[in-house]
Amino acid sequence: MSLDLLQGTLDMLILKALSWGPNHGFGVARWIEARTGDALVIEEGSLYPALHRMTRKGWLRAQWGITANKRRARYYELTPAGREQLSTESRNWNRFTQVVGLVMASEPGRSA
Amino acid sequence: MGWLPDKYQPLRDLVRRGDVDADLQDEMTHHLEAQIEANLAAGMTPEQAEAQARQRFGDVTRYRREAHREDRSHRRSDQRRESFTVARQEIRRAWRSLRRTPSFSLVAVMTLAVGIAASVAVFTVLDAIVLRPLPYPAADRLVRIMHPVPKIGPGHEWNISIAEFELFQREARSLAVVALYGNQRLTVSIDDQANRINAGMVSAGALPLLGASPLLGRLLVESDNDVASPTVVVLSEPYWRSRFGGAPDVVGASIRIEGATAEIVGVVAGNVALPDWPVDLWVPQRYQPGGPPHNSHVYRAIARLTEGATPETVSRELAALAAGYIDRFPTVYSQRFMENTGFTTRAVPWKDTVVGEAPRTLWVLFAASILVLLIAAANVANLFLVRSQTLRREVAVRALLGANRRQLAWHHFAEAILVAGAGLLVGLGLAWGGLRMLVAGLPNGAGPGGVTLPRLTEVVLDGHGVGFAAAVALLAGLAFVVIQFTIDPKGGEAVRAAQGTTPSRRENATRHLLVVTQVAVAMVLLAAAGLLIRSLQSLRNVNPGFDPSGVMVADLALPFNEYRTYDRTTEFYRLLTQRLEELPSIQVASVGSVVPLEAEDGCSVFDYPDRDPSTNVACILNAIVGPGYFTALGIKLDGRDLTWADIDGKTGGMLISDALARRIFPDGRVLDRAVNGPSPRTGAMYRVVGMTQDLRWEGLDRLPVEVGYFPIEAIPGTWLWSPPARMRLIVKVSGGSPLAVMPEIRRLVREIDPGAAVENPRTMDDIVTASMRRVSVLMLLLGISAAAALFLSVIGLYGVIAYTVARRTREIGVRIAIGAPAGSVRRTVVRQSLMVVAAGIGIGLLGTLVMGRLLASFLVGVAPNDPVTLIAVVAVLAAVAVVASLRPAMRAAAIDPVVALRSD
Repeated sequence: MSLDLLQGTLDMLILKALSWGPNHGFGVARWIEARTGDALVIEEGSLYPALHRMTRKGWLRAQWGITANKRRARYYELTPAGREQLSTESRNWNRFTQVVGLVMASEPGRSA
Repeated sequence: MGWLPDKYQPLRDLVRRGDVDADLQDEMTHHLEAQIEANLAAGMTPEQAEAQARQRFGDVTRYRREAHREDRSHRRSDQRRESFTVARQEIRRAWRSLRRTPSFSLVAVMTLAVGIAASVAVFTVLDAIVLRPLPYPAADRLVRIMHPVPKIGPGHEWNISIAEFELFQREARSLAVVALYGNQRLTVSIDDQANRINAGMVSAGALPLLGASPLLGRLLVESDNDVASPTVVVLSEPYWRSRFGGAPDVVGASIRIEGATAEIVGVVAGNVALPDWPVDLWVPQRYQPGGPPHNSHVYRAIARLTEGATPETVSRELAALAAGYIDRFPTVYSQRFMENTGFTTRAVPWKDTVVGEAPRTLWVLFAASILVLLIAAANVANLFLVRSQTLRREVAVRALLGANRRQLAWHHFAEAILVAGAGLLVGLGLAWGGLRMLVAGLPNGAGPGGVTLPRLTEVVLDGHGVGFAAAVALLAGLAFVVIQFTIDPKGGEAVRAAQGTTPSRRENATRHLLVVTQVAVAMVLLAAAGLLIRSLQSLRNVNPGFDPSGVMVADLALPFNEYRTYDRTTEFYRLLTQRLEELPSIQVASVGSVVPLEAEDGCSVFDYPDRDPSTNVACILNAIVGPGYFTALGIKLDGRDLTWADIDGKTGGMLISDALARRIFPDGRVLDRAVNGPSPRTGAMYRVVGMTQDLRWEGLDRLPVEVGYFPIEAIPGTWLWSPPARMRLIVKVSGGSPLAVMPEIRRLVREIDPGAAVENPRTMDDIVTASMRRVSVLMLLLGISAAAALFLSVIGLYGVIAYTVARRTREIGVRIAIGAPAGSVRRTVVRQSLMVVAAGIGIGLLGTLVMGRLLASFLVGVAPNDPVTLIAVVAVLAAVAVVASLRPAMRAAAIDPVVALRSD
């Protein structure tokens, strides 16, 4: 999988993860793992540059909070701009998969 | 944090390494710890748990660095946003604070505005006239071709001959186009009404060279230049619109020019003109193609260089061509002619010949305007310093309340920016208005004596000027900030001052430096103005050799196609002058080809039988005069004036000037001697009937030239000049304003010949004033600058001395208490003022030397380092030093020691 695609997709996955409610980096990693299992291998460390980048872009808001285990952790939360971004990206993603799906479903000799 | 802290210390260290952000470190540590915890819960050994967590996480260092990079750029944009907010706040604060002190703001803005306006106006004029190329295509490759003839006279230059024009077109390979051009006033008759118009007289190649294209019909073609072809003209678009109502059928119509008929063959599109000569009509320069060569170097030539050629390479090529003239044109050029004249050939950029002497004046004015700007800026800087005294408490309070360095910097900067910005706007307005007045008020063109400016119609305040003004304002604004900031970088000084402790040395030094600068600038400007005042005095003391009072001059133009014989011209002038002299308001009326002070450079050959063959022929100014010329102008004579009897009897009577007589007749016998004048030595001769005193012909600051005065009718057997159809009418009135007789003159001229025109009336006094204008205008402008500089220096000086006395009150009190007499206290204060001025004079003296060199060409009868002027200027400045310190000195001497010591 190309790095670019991975990166774009990773952003979208993080946004999706956070659309369920504020969470810390570890929580986001757990959420993605629970949904993808072993299908998608992501180095968890790469979440952090992505989280910080999206914070800078104004899609996320970060705040220190206390975890259920009474540990200090940094919680990320979607901003309205982030929500907007998520809906744009999922629309694009849907169109993308649809088109690619159509292409892949076509057979030799028949027009796509 | 807690969980097995010691054990995971190395982990934390790994994350923490470098200058990593603490939040980021905590965040990643949390992730790893949480993962390890989960792994332990799943039953791994601690080693396994850690290894697995790290493997899942990936390269900690890399992700830490990447995330950190994101954070850093985030912070920077935050900072920018914060700076912007601070700036906006401070500018608003500065605006309010400037409005609270309207007198400060007004004085600061206006002072700066005047400085900016002066420099921008002069810069704009300099830019339009000197720096920009002429408004023609490929103007940087246009040259004028000239023949310097240094042996004829220093600085003398001839134009080229027709034979040369044809030769250059054929053989000069570095010239793409060669063209002849000239300007003339012509009389055009439409419906029996004589109109004077501006004509450009050109060879066919000139129009495309100037960027002309036909709007209707055609431009001139080569055959139009042939004397044998019918006369054609091309209209300019403005003239076609105003005079012919833009009629499309104008091509093919004919008009009467100077009494002859010419066919209109086309209209030039747009507003193509010759330099300083708006053209109504383009007429062909006519000559006989391939005709015999003549020694008549009177045709102005311009050329466009081929790609890669320079004026120097062209000059070399033309000089090489000229070396062959003796073989090529043996009837015109001889070895002797070349040696006697010093005949050479040179191509100079056309622009240089168009702008002439103007760059000198403009650079001097530019230097002066920069000095005025400098002094204005110094004054505003000083005002800012005084202001920061009064605003100290405010700044101190803000500093103590924790305003940071950036905010304080913005505080200084915001005020400076507002003042500089307002100064810029007002200055641009003033410059714009001033330039409009200048362009409207000065006649365009490089008139005799350098009266006006060339290319004046091209002067307009545009992007260059605005850019220059903006740069100046920005520099000034920065200077204000830097000055304030270097004195008081952290507001600490303000705090100390608010607490009442001693002033900073740095501030005192800065204030002194500003005043020293002002004095130095004032010195330079005063010296320059002084030198020009002395020059003007010398000019006023020049005896011009004539009496200008009550004399009016106007230009007469007879339609020369109708006045082809001496009989007709002589008859016209006789009738006109006699009728005029019958009027009670007129004492004397006469005509002449030129009047004193209006002659331009140039000379004609003058020979005489007694000449030693080994000496050069003389080259003199030829004046063609009618009877009464010398009486009308009050020129003193030995011998007698010309009379109508001389002219009717063709006696050959003529006059020569004292200078010419001294040279050609060193034995002192002048009257009744025979001379050839411009004719060859064989044939008829003129006879000297009178000798005039020497006159200033080319300007009051130019030495008298040698002159021969010939009658309006050449005598038979001499080389003839064409019947003089272009003359000056000279009228001495009995009383009252000389110009009041102009309506009478107009009426009489029209009565005698409706096709004749008289225009451009001026008094001889005007001509004298105009001749001094080059010096007097510069003197006036520099004088104003100097006065402003002096005034501002006095204020600056007073301010700094008064401030020092106020600051030293306690010290002076002590000295008075221990018995210092009041006189000595006063002297100390005055001495301090003198010291400041002395430093300014020292620096100013150096500037004066530079200025003197710039001014040298304007000075008449005074050296650039004239000691009298310098001493006077130093005396003025010393007096200023004393005056400025008097009040502070009195105050110092009156200090009551008891009060002074109790203060604080």
